[in-house]
Amino acid sequence: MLEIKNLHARVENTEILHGINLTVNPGEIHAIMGPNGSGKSTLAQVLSGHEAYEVTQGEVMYQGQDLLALSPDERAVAGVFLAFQYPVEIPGVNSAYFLRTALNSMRRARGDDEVDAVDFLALLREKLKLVEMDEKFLSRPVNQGFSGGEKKRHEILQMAVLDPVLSILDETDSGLDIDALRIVSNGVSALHGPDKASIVITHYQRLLNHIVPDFVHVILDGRIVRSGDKNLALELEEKGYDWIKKDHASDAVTA
Amino acid sequence: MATNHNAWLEKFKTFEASLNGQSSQPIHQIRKAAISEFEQTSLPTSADEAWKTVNVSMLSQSDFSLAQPHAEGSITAETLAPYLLPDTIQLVFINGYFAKDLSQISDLPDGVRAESLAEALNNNPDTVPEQFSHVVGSEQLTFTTLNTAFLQDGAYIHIAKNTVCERPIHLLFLSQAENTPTVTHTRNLIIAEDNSQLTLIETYAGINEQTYLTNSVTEFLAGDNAQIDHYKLELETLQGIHIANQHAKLGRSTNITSHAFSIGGAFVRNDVSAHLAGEGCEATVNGLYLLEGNQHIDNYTLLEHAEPHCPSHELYKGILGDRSRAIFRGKILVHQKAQHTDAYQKNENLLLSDNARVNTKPQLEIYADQVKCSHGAIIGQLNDDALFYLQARGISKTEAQSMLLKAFADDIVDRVKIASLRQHLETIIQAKFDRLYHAKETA
Repeated sequence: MLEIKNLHARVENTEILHGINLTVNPGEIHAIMGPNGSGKSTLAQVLSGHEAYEVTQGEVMYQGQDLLALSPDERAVAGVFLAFQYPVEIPGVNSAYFLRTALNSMRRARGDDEVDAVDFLALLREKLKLVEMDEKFLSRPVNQGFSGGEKKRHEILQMAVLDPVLSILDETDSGLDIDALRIVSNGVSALHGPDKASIVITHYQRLLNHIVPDFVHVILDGRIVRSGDKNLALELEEKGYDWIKKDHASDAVTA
Repeated sequence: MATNHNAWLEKFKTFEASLNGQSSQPIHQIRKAAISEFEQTSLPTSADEAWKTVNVSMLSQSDFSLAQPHAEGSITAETLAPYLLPDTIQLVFINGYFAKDLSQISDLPDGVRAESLAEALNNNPDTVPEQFSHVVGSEQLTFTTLNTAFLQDGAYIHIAKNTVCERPIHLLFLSQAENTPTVTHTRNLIIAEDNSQLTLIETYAGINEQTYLTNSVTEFLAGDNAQIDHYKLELETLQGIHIANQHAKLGRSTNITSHAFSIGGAFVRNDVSAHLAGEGCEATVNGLYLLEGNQHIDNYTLLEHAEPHCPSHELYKGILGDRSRAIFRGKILVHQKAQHTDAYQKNENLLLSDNARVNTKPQLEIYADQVKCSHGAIIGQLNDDALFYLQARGISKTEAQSMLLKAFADDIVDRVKIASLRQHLETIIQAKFDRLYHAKETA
């Protein structure tokens, strides 16, 4: 589904990704872990097309097409979804209107009929249950006055409504209490399926108790330096990143 | 500039001669006093503080002749249709002259007078003139003086004590400049007596591709405990110059809200003032300006707190594209007597182009000691993070930009209390956004 080859990217004049390689197949959940500043979030932003990041080398193929050639909205239409680490507040834009505009923009772009207000409300009510959110949130401006946990649940609500193929969750678990974490991870698990895939970027192993990954990758200095199964996350939890850093440093010396 | 000054004096002589018998009426003494006052002053130049940033030369470049009444039948229902609002008492003025055949003033409720000022002056030559100029008190009086000198027609609205005028009154001013630049001196006098209630809408628009100048003065004289909602739609053509002085004097516990939507005009100057002259009265003065091309707008506001316990609220928001320019000067003057004043002022601007410019200047003059005053100004661009967020949800960049602009403008539009007017404005504003983006894309 997704094939990242030797991806280099920079922001302003600093190169942050120094050659990422990653293959994601349908039905898989990949966890990406790493210390602060290792390039986890940059990878998420590059995959969703943020203008501030410039790809200097490498390629990303998604369902057989060059993902990097698409604009952010075209990527969304193609089924790529980014759950933001820091969801943006948009004063004056009502949440329900925003979600319906988003859904209908995608449906239009795919050649489907638009959903009318009544059908949309029915769909929304069903999805709200999944993230245990009250309908009243949707009459507020997008993310404005939402608590941290509400913002993250709102991201998962959007994911549920837009029904993406490839979901990238950028530290969706950061700052969540245990209830919110349960709600968010149940939502993500419920939305997963054999035709879908997820990349879960996280700092903490605890999310992976709820969302069990097929693969765990460790990013250091803009490269994936180790990959394994879910046990790698447990090992990281126990030992921290230092042992990998040391190994990686000695690899670099011998290389 | 001197030549231009003299040109106005010459014009006054011609105008005076054209009045024939009317020049013996008391109102003419007011006109004559005004022209002699004008004679002693001068038109503003760029050296004047209040006009510093303005290219006043455009006022002197064109020799404006007094606009003439339109030829019978030259304005059709079709011409008016885009400006009309449903369920209103409607007074239409073409080139500053009341057009009775195009107006809807039958079935006025008891206690409501809505007529042409010329008619009111004719019918009440002694009483109506006494009601003038109780309010005008702006710092920039030159154009008001000129307006008074050439005063002839406009709207005269009178709401009697304890009267609620439920239907909004819509004043529509259309300029139809033909071959040469023309000027219209429109004068409106709005009187709301004690415990009365009124919604007033003013629309200013032009219908030809010729330079013209609208010099309008609107005075509100409100008694005690009156409620006035005022909306002004400035939809002049991009060849039009619009200079407007709007002044309100408020009695005890009176509440006025005024919203100005400035969409058109090559050069627009709004002087808006409210004199909070009764204890516990309240004024809300808001504005939205949307500029394209080389449009220029000056908004000079003055909230003068003269009595205690008066709140005032002021929010001006602007979106500027291309090479447009906006000035905002918001003055709050709190007299010593005006304790417990609560005055709030904000000016927010969104620049869509590197060549657009804004100057914003709050000016607080406070002589009372128990006062809450706040002011703020923001000049920024569309939020890139918000744009990316919307795009990441499948919304195209153009649509995302349009959503953010609409959200910015809706902050003012949503305060309009009349649903049909809100829809009318949304259509006008959307068309303006489309032009702003078209210009951006072809730039």
